[in-house]
Amino acid sequence: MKINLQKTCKKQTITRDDGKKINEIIIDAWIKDDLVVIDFNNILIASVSFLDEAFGKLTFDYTKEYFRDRLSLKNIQEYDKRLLNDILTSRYRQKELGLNGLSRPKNKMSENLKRRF
Amino acid sequence: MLNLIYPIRQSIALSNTMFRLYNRAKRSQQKQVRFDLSKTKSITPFGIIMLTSTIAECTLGEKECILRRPQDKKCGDYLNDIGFYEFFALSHPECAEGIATKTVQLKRASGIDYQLADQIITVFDNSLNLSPGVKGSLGMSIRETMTNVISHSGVQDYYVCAWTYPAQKQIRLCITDLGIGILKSLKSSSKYKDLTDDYDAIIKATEEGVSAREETDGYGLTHIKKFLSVNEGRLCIISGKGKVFWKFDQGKTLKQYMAKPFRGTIVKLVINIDKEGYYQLASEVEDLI
Repeated sequence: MKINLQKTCKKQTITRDDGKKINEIIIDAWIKDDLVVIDFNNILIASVSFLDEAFGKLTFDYTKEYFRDRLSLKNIQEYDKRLLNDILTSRYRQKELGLNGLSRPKNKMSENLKRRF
Repeated sequence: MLNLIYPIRQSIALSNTMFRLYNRAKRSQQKQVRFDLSKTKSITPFGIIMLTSTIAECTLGEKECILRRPQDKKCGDYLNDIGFYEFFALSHPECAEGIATKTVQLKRASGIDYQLADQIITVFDNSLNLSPGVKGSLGMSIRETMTNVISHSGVQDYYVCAWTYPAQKQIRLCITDLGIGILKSLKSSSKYKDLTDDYDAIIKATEEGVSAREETDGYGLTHIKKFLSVNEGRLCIISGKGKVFWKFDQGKTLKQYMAKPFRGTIVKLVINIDKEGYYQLASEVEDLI
């Protein structure tokens, strides 16, 4: 599946609600085990809230290997690449320590994914 | 008429004086308030934001505001440049627009303004040629602070003032809202209901993963702090009676209780243009994408 960030989000790439839209598209694709390719169009996002909601929270249910294997980001600015890597590293570190995702409300998707991974 | 005489220098160093004037204006029963800036010679973005907030409080209380302009020409020109007089004359949301067309860095915004960060970056980048790291981190700081206002303050309106100091190679940015403040916002979550102190609430809010919304949120201020730490800049947060000033350039954190409270939240950032903008350390971050 290919996602054009500019077309999908217009210019709304700041809040967690904005990021949730991308998060849901990725989850839908990953349920079918699809490869997701996201084109950032060289737009500077520079929003922790957006990137964490869109990508960071995927770490609750998906391994690093799955991330590398099933997500490809095109035309992403160096700043956003570093920021996103920082967010993902931090989320995985917390996961290893059992600090996140544990007390959040369980949903159908999480239960389904736990069975798969 | 209530006459408020402003000091020669309006900056964060005189925050207690500025807060006293703010509280006098807010609590006064007088229907007219005169803002006497005749002695003022310099105003930092913090001073502008305090003045603007005080005017906003008066407007909310349906008080008529009268301005006595600074006698100092340089200071008068500065206020003119940033659109302060327009703001003062109108005291309405349509004031101080046009951030992209002139070097106006005073703006009243409402809700998430998707253009705001880009506009400020464009203005500064045109004149200062910012590095990609500083550009990104400045944008990140504006976006996260704005998101915090909308998500946690309980109000939609806020004020932004940004200004460059070419000699010091600095950008100073100040964002404020007249909302419920950090303590009340955190206390709305059962996890932080025992907090009683404004200072403790500010410190708590800057910790990773602390948010009144969800346990999985609360990373914006952490990233702003990380950036300013690497950039050797400064971060000051004032809310209620609490004031915390991180002077990363000096390795100091100052704590102060204000004599008079500010009902909302003020966030002030000092960013060094010629210092590191990327704050993600390669040794600590995995290459996952």
